[in-house]
Amino acid sequence: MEHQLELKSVAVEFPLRRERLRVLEDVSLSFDEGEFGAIIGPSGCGKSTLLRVVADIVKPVSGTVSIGGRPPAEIRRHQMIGFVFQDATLLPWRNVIDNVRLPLTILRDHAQKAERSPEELLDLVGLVGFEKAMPSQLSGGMQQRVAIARALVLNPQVLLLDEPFGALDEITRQRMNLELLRIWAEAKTTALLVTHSISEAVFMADKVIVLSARPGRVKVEKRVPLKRPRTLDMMRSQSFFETVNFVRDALFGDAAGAAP
Amino acid sequence: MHVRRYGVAVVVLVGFLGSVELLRHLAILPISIAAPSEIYRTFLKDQEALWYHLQPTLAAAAIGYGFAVAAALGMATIAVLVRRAEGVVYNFAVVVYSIPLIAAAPILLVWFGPGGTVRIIIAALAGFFPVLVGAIQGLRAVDPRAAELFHSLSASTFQQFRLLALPSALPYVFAGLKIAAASAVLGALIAEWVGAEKGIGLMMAYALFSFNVAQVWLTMFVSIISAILAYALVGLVERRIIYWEHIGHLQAD
Repeated sequence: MEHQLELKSVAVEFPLRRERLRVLEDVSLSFDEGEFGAIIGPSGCGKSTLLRVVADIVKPVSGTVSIGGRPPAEIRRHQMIGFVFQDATLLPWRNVIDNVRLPLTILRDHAQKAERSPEELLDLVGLVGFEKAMPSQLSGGMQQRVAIARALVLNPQVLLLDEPFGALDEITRQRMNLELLRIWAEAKTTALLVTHSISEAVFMADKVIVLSARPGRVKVEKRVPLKRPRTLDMMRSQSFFETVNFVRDALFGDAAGAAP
Repeated sequence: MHVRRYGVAVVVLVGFLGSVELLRHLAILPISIAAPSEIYRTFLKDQEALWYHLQPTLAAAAIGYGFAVAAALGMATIAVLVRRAEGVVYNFAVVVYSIPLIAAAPILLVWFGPGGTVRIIIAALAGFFPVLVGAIQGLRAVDPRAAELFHSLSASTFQQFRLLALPSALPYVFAGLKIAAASAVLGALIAEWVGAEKGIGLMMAYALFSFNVAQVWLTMFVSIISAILAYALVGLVERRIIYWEHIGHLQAD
C-alpha cells in the first residue's frame, strides 16, 4: 500500500560560512493517510528542518519525499500544505476571521479546491465570537488556535506543526493538546508534529520518531500503543509510562553511562 | 494622565519664557535674543503679513512633498521588486540627499527663473530621502516566519508584496513620511532665502537684513511650528491607517 507521506534517505545541507553543514542524514520514514506522527530530538537535530523539507520550504540535497505519491513542490503549488509555526504568525493587521481566510485570498484555483468555511473552523477551534478581534488582543493559546484553523481552511493533505505549543505554559499546553487531537480527528488529515516534550509526543502521536543530534538521523521509531480518542487519564497508564521511558532512553541513550 | 504630562510641559515652557523675559529686562541676555513680550507684540503687529507669507511657503512645501513621496515610494517599490535595483536606487538617493540645498537653490533659480517652481523642487529634494529610506527598510522588514507562511501557501511575488510586505512596511514608511513633512517645510524656507517674492523665509531674511530682532525670532518660531505641525499632521494620518498597533488586551486564555 502506498503511504500518504514518505521520506527516503533524505539528507539536508546548509551552507555555513565556507562549509556545508550536514543537518539531516539518511532520514527515512513513512506515514499512512490520517496518521499522526511526532518527531522529537535534541536541539539542533534538524527536526524543524525536516518539517520544512516536507513543506517544500527547504530542499533536500539527496533522497526523495513524496506526499500522496507526489513531490512536495507540487503539493505546495497546489496549496495543499497546512503549516503551524511556533509563534502563531498571524498577520497583525487582519482580524481573526480574515487571518483564517488568508489562504483563501491567496488561492489560485478556486474550482479545484474543497474549502472549509472559516466560520466553521473557528467554531471547531472554539473561538466563536472572536471573529472580529485583532491578534494583539488574543492570548498565545488563542492565537495558535487561529493558526490551526488557518492551516486547515484549504483541507490540506498534510498538517505540519512546528512546536506549536512550545511558547505556552504547561496547563494551557495540555489543554491545547487535547484540543488539537479533537480538531485533527474531525479534520482527518495526516499530521506531523515536532516537539520538545516526550509526553506530548507520546500523548498525541500514533508513531513517535526519535532523531539523533546533528546530523539528524532516525534513531528509533515507536508505535504508541494507546487507543483513540486519547484522554488525560491515559497518562497514568502503564503503556504510557513504558512508551515514554522507551522514548526517553532512545533520546538520552548515549549519555546513559556518562557521569553527571 | 494626558493632562499631567502636558501640565508639566506647560509649566516648564512658561517658566522658561518667564526667565528669558526677566533676563532680557535685566539686560543679562544680549540684544540678539528677543524678549517673549517683544516677540508677542511683533506678532500682533505683523499678523497679516505673517498669514500672507505663510501661505505660499506651506503650499510649495505641500506640493514638493507630494512629488517627493510619489517619487520615493515609486523608486522604493522598484528597488524591492527588481533584483539589482536596490543598490542603484540607494546610491541615487544618497547623492540627492547630499546636495547642499542652499547651494542648489541659486543654480535652480537661474535655470527655472523666479516664481514658485524652485521652491517646490527644493522642498521635494529635502523630503525625498527620508521617505525612500523608510519605504525600502519597511518593505524589507518582513517577518521571516510570515514569509515562510506565504511560501508554504505558494503565494506569488505580487501577492506577497501586496498582502505582506506593504502592510509590514507601513510603520517604517510613516516614520519617513513624518520626517519628510518637516523637511519639506524647511526646504521651502531655504529656497526662499535665495530668491522669492513672498514667503516666510523671505520675511525672515528681510527681518535679518533690517536687524529687526523680534521679527527674526517671530518668523523662526512660525517656521518651527509649521514644521512640527506638518509632522503632527502626518502622524494623525498614521494613527488612522496603522490601526493595529494601539489595541490593548481582551482577556487571558
